[in-house]
Amino acid sequence: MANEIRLTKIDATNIGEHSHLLLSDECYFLFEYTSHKNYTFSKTNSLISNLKKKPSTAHTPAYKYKRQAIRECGDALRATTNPDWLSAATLVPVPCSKAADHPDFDDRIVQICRLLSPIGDVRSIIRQTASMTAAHEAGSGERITIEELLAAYRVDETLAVPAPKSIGIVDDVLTSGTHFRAMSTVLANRFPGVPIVGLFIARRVFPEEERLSPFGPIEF
Amino acid sequence: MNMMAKMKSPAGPAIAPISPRVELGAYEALWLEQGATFKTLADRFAADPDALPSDFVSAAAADAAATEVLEKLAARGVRQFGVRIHRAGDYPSRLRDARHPIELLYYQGEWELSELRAIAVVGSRKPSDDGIRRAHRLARELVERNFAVVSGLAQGIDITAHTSALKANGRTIAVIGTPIGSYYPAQHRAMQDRMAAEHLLISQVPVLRYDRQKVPQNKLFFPERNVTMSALTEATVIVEAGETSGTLTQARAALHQGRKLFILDSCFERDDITWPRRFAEQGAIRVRSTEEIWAALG
Repeated sequence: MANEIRLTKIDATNIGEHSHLLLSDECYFLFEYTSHKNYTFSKTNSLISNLKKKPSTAHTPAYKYKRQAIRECGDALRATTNPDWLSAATLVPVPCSKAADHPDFDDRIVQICRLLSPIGDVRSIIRQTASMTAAHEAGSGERITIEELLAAYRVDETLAVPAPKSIGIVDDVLTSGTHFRAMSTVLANRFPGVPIVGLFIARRVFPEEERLSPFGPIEF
Repeated sequence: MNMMAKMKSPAGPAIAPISPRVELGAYEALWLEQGATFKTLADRFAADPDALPSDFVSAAAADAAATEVLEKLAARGVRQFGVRIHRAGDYPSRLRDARHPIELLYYQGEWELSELRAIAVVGSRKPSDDGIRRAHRLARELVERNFAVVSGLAQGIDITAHTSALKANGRTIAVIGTPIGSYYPAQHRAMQDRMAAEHLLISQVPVLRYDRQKVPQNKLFFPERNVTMSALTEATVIVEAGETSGTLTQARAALHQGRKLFILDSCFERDDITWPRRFAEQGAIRVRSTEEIWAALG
């Protein structure tokens, strides 16, 4: 999937779909997919849906696709990330929305980070103190806010030393940017002046019909 | 990845990352250069295979062009669009089969539709009643077999193919010969907007160059889009076309790109045109029934 491709930057042309990001945020992604569409034929949709298979279904045959998806994502990011940067950076996975004792606690992002940087510095510096509804499970209107995340995120001080020189926040899907912003805020407070970037497998875009349409249905 | 590409981002996290805004502006700026064509642009990229548009123009020129494009599109009511850039994720690698592959395209709508199996249905702008009936039936049967129906949003066969696909609740993709936010013919405006909102609309036409040159020069963008339409699809079906039709550009492109080219039997029965036999000799498939198309597509 990621043969010879490069990371794309979030810039003024595509930041509109990520309302919580700031133009000063440095974020990169590989693929795009349309939200709220079940395009089973779409490569990115199927990659992401495999990636998000719940750990409580680990006994099902289909769970092997999750392991394949994790490997594919790790390989794709490694092929497009600058090894010099990686050797000096600390990768910080966005924590799972479920706490570690929850049956659906999922360390897929940690695994992707380890594939991205097998001998590098991968540290789960940010811990989430309570289980929450995953962003992709929540209906519209019940999305988590940055403030709620800031209240739930804690710096794991046992992992905070030595201080990172450069931080890459890693997640699978960039949606509104809520998690990246909250992570970035907590990490910037704890490690002032350390550059922070975001690395994502995919960013989600909206189908046009979810925007206000000036024209109604057309009859032929 | 060559050394030059690596040197572009010596310290950053990404190897030679792509900024859509910069590349969009650079592509538009390249098109503003004297004498730029799909061929001259493709030749430059062929000579420097790792290059991005931004490698050939100054940052200031790319920035100015991007600003102007974004302003113009916003003024034309284009609220949402995307670009696909060679080497970024989601760029369809099959576009490289074109003789002069494009480095960037604009789109509106749902890009995922480009991943469906897709067949182009094209032909004359002034078809016979039988031609319209054939295009309608073909589009309906393609939808029944879960193909996306691809065409060029022109009068005649094109609009029939799109409309019939929609009536059959199918998926349809338009590859247009104007920039996004510009309409030709004007009476297809509502349909173009609907394609952009609910399906997929693709344009490789540079916004600024199109605005700065006159109609006769811009007419050249129409046959050029047929080359891309062929590259995007698995096969092209010609329903009906005259001896000088732009559709024949797509026929040549399909054969060159190794795509299947189907020509309806009725074209062979006309004595005023010679192209059906010529293309059949070069590998086009003469079809007497749609069953022959399904059999050939597998």
